[in-house]
Amino acid sequence: MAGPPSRPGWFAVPAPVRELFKLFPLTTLPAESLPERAPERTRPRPCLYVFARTLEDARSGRPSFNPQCLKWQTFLRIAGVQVHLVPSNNHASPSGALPFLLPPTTQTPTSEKESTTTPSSNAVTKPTVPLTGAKIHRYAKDNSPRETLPDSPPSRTEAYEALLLQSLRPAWLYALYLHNSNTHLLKSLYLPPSPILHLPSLHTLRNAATDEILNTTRRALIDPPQLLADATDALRSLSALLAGDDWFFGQPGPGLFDAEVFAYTYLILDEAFGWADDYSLAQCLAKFDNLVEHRRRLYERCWPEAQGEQVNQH
Amino acid sequence: MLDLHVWGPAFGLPSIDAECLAIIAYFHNALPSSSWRLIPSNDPAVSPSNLLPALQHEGTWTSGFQPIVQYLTSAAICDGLDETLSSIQRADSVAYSAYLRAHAGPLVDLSLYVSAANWAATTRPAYSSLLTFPLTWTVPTLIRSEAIKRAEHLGLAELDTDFDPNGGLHLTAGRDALPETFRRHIPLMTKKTVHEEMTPEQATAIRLFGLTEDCLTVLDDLINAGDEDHPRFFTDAAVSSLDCLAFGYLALMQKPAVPRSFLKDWLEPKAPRLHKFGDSMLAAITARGDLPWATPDPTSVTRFGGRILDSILRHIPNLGEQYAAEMRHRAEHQKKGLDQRALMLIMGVVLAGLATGYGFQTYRAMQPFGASTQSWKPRRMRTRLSEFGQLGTMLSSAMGPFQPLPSVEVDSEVD
Repeated sequence: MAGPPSRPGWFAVPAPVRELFKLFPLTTLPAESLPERAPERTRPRPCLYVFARTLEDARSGRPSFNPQCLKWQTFLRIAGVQVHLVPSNNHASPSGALPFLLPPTTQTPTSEKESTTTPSSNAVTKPTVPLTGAKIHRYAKDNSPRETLPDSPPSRTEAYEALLLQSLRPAWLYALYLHNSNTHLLKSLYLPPSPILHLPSLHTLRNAATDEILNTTRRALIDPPQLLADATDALRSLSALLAGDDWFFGQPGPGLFDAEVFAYTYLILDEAFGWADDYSLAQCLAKFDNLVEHRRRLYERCWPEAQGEQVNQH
Repeated sequence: MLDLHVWGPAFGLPSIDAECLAIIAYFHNALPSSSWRLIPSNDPAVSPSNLLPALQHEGTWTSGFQPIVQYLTSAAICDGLDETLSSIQRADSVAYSAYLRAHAGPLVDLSLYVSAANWAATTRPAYSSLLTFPLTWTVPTLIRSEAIKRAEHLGLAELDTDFDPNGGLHLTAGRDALPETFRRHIPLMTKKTVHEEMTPEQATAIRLFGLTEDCLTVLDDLINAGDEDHPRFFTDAAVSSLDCLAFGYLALMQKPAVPRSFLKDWLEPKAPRLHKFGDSMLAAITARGDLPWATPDPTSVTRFGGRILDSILRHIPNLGEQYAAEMRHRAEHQKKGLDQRALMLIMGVVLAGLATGYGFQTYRAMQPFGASTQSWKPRRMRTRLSEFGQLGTMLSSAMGPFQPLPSVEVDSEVD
């Protein structure tokens, strides 16, 4: 390049341009407020994000329609931890699946004074990490007002948990996601209200459910009668395990495994759920009286406010 | 006569598949060997459910370990092995069977299929000896990709991105993502880190050992210590169905001579009872006499060709998955031959193929973009007598020598 190098060096911004850029920003707008449904900055109670049919259902703490959510909801109720239910969907979750728990915000005493003056200041709250799965378990145990939650024998519990996962869940998935008569139910529970999104979402959900069933059962085809037979076997084993006891593994009180079984038995026998009649897990379950009884017992214990309503039995 | 179709023998075991091994052990313990035949058909498509083991009894097909066991008792062919168990023991048996499928199954998948070193050194050669020639190229990879899908939730996919620095068949990710032949000529400037020097099994050793320990400790807790030499899960029964199923999975953990034997390494020192259990079950099978092996019916040429075509179609990216889903749909609804849906699909594929072919031909016939069009025209000013055939030519040559010079017009404005 011709000419002597300018004094400030090769990469210096020319003075007029620098002047121009100094004009920016022209104005600074005030920060937008967070959306209406964003989690509040301060939470007095932990929030459990679950699938729920309506906002009203979540407010009144009715059981969720998703077995995973219901399991943790029940367990938190067993532990006596008061939570605030928030209806949500998978997109809201950091792990991609519901439920997750936002613990209450803790405030340090020095900043409490500040927070009374400037309530929107985010310096007062410690950022909380959403808890999922086993961490919810830990949280519930740590914060339970009851002294000790019973611990079931670990290795047998794992075996029976695998039984739920391996034999009962594929039948549940088939009944809800793939069985044709339950399509309207699936639409009302999981699909977006927009009719344009219906078909692709339904397709995605069904493909995911098919993959999940095939991977779990380790078979090449989906065989609905076989799935139902496996589920019946699983329920028979659970019934034999429970025998005449009040709670599983002969514990004095309900534990996580009770919550897990309840999550399925409650929804399977729930008459308001809207199951179609021709592929009926309820018929399989109704044969085992002690499981039905276990479901009623746990429901009355955890949802005492629903005592007035008739617990629907098959 | 009961015909039991299974995957054939490998690794010194009667079968390469866990459920096949389990059902062989079950039959061998429950039935006299004169009443059943063991057929290493190596083709899941022999049964309508597309799954081995498959039992054919008087025209009825049953597939899978649990259904076959149930069929045997419901058809009153033999006393089940679980007859003597109490109700709670039966419940345990069902629960632990589910546990084996849910947790031991993925571990075996990891060891034999996902781990690329084990797959290349042990499992794939075993499949090659079971299958006939062109299928050895297509079928084992399909089986492997299914196993990888089943073990996906464990999050150990890096076992698959394995490469042996001395072997040099695999590409590696990142810095040296070069074919092996190139890499030899380029001196590596950077030193390898410790992590890069390790095999994937070593790098994920903690997680692998954790998974193995979680899974096998549960089984080790249940297994009965009563009989030191022949440990069984329930002492009341000589061999129960749970023993058979556990044998299927444990044998595949112990016996194959894999180069990265993380399962065996844990099993032998940490759970000697489980290790002994596998050995004693295998010894019990051989002690009861030979298995009633029978040679499979020779497959017809059309069936064999169909299987080759089928396995090739499944390999096509995207289209292969659609094809597999469609075949599954047909098998589930037990459709045979052509129906409306199949016709529509075939029509669709044919039409799409035709459209693509036509488009390709059109594209080929097009001028290269940007090239100018050139046309040659004969000058038509003089005589046209030559257009009238032979006579015209004679006349025109008679009328005088005339050679029309071809003129070249270049029309560069037309693209």
